[in-house]
Amino acid sequence: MSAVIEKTAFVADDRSEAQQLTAAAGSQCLTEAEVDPSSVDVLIYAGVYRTKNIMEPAFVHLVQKEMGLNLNPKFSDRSTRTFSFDILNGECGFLNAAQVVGSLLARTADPEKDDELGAVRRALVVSGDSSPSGRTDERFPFLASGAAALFSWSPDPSLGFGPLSVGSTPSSTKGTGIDGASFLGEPADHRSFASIKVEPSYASDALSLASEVAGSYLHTYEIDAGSIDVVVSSQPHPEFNAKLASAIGADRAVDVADKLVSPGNPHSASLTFGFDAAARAGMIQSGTKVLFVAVGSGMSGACAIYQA
Amino acid sequence: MTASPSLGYTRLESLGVVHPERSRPTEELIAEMPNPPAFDMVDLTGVENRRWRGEGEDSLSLATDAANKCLSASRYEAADLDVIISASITRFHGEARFQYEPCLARLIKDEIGCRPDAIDFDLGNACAGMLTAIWTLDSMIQSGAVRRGMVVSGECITPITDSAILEISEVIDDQFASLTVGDSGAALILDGSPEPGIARLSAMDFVSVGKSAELCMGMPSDQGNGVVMYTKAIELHKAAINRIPKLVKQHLADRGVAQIDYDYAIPHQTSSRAIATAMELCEPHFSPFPEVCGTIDQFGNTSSTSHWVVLDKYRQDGRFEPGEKMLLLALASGLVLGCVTMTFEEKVLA
Repeated sequence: MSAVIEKTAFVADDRSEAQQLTAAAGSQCLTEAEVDPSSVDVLIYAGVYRTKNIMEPAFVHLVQKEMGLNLNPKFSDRSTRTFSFDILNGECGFLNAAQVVGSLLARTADPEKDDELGAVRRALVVSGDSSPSGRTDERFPFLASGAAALFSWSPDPSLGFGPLSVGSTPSSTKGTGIDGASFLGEPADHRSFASIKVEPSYASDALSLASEVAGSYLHTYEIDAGSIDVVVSSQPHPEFNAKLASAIGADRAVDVADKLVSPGNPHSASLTFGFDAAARAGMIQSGTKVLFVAVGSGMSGACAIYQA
Repeated sequence: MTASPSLGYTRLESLGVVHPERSRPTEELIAEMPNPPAFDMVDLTGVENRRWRGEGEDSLSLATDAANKCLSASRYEAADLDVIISASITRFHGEARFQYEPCLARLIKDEIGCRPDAIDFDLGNACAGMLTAIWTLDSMIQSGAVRRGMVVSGECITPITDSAILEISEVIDDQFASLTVGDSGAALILDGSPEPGIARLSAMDFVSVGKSAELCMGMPSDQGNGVVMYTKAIELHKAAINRIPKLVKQHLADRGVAQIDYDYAIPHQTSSRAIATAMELCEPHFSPFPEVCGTIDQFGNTSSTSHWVVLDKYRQDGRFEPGEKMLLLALASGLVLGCVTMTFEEKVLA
């Protein structure tokens, strides 16, 4: 076990622009955690659909600028430095980022390692998507939102994220589930629009893959489904979480699924939304066992256990 | 983020670099411009030629070709990879199709035959993407999360040149830098084995200068011409040029070294004048001054693959000896700056 979530935040309001929403979530998360923003060593943006379909720089830098996070570092003072980059993998990106953060924190925590050199003690993973136009657009199928999760290292090896497992359905079988692209040769306002196609069978295909990846994870790591308190999952529709928890036999998680339903599909922000909703409902206490299950375009699925 | 001796040092096990076959000289591009620049582009940038995507070549095909080339030079097979990270800026998959999901790593993973349970994700950090991905994978290996993995990037970037040729209209135009880029693919495999490989990663340091986040921006064209890149070249140069030597100084100071005997340096391939200026400013930190490696004359700025394009060319020419030290300097939109120190292990011939 390695990385623990100190605090989360989720923002979905009348704003509809990714940079503002993710920065708002990031700032809210740090404020509520009562953490000096300059102590964030690594910032990762794990979203997909970003303002104006900007390709360069990595979108995280625009979020960092909006947050005012260590914008003018002194190289000799690591407390003024925040290194940032994007991770992109549809709805699974958050779990990829969580694993990367776990590795970065683990290296710093090694007792034989030089203490200060390149220390990563705190990492902030922000996510969330919006229509590239930055405005409400009915063609954008997801909930415009921003989310943030603050990670740090726990010395207790039984806490935090366990290993990450991924699974996939070949595109030859079911298509890619969700296909998001800009068709730049066609006349359109390509800064305002991304073509996002969701397969008609996506909801049931996603449930199948999520159940398979989660079920396989529980088997591999010998985790009793009945011991799972909360399933935090992707949210292609409001009943998905309950159906998934039921499919894998996580009966306790079925009972609380209705508290984790989001107002729309937060896409890349789904997992942070779910954990945040659970935390704010008082469901995340010491000893709570959470199963994170993501499923998305590929089709790809990812699963990790989390011990609060 | 240094690997201390107790953790071991990550090995660069294999490398594959590909270039499209077609080479286009700068004069040819200038001749197509309705509003050609008033200055000598070759003299200013050092870019004489660049490789240009062929029919059917895109970010995905260049990445896959590089990945397969890397595997053919590797002790491993695709099924041995625990993780694959695609680090390109460009995401072209199909004619003028810029793909957001599925991620490119997933498509490459399936194409080259990785295990279904291999981790895959894209990592983006503009021209510092591959080095950032290497830094990330290094931590994943040294923390025990994975045993070995691939970092790959297929950069189909000359579409921004197509746009620049048509759209440049000012005497000082923000799209001039788009005339310096070239296409390529690069892939490398990292692991934690103590056996000698191509090189060993010794130390890596990266920093983001957020106040300069908007000095170089790539996005779809607003004139219907695919994709564009706007570079405020003067401001970007100013923001980077004094910070690079400061980061090099810190990179060494953090390891208790005032000066170091690097044998080679590979700066990010932006322009020959900017590279020369940056290296000159770094001179106090070197003893002696390293050989500065570059391929900007023949390949231009290949964005995230640049360091590996250079390293591969010099490697093919049999230039590196075991024990020699290399400094890679990252410079990317963000503003991202980075130093990577590595030491060669095997002498690799073409």
